[in-house]
Amino acid sequence: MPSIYFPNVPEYQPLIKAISGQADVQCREAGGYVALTSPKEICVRRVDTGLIEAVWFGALVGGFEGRVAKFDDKELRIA
Amino acid sequence: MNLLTDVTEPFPQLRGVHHTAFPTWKPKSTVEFYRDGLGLRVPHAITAKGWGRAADEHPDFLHFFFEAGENSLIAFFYYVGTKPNPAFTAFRGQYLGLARHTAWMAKNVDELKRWRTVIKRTGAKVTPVVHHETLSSIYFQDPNGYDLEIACQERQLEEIDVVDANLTIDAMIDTFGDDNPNGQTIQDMWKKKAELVRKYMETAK
Repeated sequence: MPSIYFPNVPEYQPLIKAISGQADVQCREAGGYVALTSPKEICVRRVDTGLIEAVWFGALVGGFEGRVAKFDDKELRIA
Repeated sequence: MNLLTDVTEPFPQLRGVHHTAFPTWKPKSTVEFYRDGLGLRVPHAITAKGWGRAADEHPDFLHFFFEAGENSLIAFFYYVGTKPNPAFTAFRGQYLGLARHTAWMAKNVDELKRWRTVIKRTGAKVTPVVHHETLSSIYFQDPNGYDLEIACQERQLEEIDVVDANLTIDAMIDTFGDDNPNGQTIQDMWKKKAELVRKYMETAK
């Protein structure tokens, strides 16, 4: 199952919110991290996060499990 | 290897930047930019006959300093009679050039904006304020072509930032080592990072 991890800090909250609000996404918190896991592809659009590129392109800072299907200036998809 | 585990005595402590130093072949423009343009005081200047070993053919030189706040300085060497060495001052490419730079601290974004106005007044090009993860910055170049940044911290770094930084460092070393002998990608590193974060989260429960 695709997963994505974030340090639970202010600058990644738009990503955490945009992904955790999606159907089927499971959210775990521990040790200052948030782990988001989905039985299907995780998809987040930059427009839904309001993030500028400098932060958006650091979206995978906490690591991921699965495969990066797309990661450009508009969309991040982890399959 | 973690050198910290081999240390039995506490490390001595560094107390911030005293100065960074660069060669210049444009002493006039350098002073006009830093002293007159940015308003940095000149507290110290050395003029000397070249006294290095004869084999070095050390030229006579001037070494002058500008105050950059909190007791830190930026300094320049002017080696009299030498020709400009492009290895130091030539454009090194967009990202590689920017990788080696001096970044000063400003109090807040308002101060950054004031600096932006001051820098523009010197005729230098300056970027808009760039907001990164935890700080905001402006970037510009001095008359020598050296890259400069002024930044302000947007939030204080917390324990989780330290934890995360060290897990990133572990993932980076594990993935790339030196010179990336196995041709790994950043995605390989992010996968390794996830593995480390998952383990960390389990122990933190």
